[in-house]
Amino acid sequence: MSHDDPRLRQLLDSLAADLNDKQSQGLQFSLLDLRTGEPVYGAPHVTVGFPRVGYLVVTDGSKTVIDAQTVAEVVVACASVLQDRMMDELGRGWPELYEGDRFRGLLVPTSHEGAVGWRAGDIFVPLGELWRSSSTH
Amino acid sequence: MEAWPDEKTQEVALSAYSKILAALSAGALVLSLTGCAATYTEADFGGYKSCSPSFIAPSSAGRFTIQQAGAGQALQWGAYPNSAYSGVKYHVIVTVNGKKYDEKTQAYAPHGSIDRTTANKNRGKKVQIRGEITRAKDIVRFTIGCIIK
Repeated sequence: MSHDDPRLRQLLDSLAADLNDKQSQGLQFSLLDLRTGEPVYGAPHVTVGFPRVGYLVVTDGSKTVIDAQTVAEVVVACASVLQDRMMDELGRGWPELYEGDRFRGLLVPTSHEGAVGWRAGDIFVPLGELWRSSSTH
Repeated sequence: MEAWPDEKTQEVALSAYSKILAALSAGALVLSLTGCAATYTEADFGGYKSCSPSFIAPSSAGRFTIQQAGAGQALQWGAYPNSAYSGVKYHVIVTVNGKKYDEKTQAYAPHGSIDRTTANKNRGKKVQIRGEITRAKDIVRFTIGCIIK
């Protein structure tokens, strides 16, 4: 996977947009290539002590290794780590899918036929479109 | 974070915290407290157990758990000290098969997960979670671990 892959950049931008939940401060993150220690997305960070393989998701106060190869796998794994952080910050499940006032389920990051997004049951929301729907919170 | 002592020679501080030691039995939970005059060395806390379906550390100091739904599945862990041992800052390092996987510094009790891909690649290997809880005047350290199924 190339760090200059425009699809990777676009998907990470979309993920950043989804993280900009109106109830949070907007979680900032970086993604680093552990082979080089260089940022693929966001700001540079120290990677001392981590293995020289895979990627590192960095947020304020946490650094987590992800083991993934393709663009879709990397973005899904990154989204999963950031989902945990968002749930910590908000103190509830995130992102949640509602039908009216009825809770339908917790959306989880996934890839499907080349598309990366959030899924709960048969509902799939493409990455970057979480807040275009009034049924997600 | 300073290096922890070897797991076979963990130092467990006594003094006011002897009840921590009393709460321990064979298992992979070690708690220690810095800043105390008296220390006690526990030679062997016993072997590591499977993470699946769950490892619950034998302790009255809180709930320290690692769970894995099944072979090759993702793991979830949490370190929730009770009010007597809670702190203002928590720092944890998670290692999988001796390699650093996760590091967190935060103001609340930590929890996390290890993804399925990593778990599946490390079946039969040890996951270890080492933490420091910074309190008003002292630091509580803990280590939990188990074998990935």
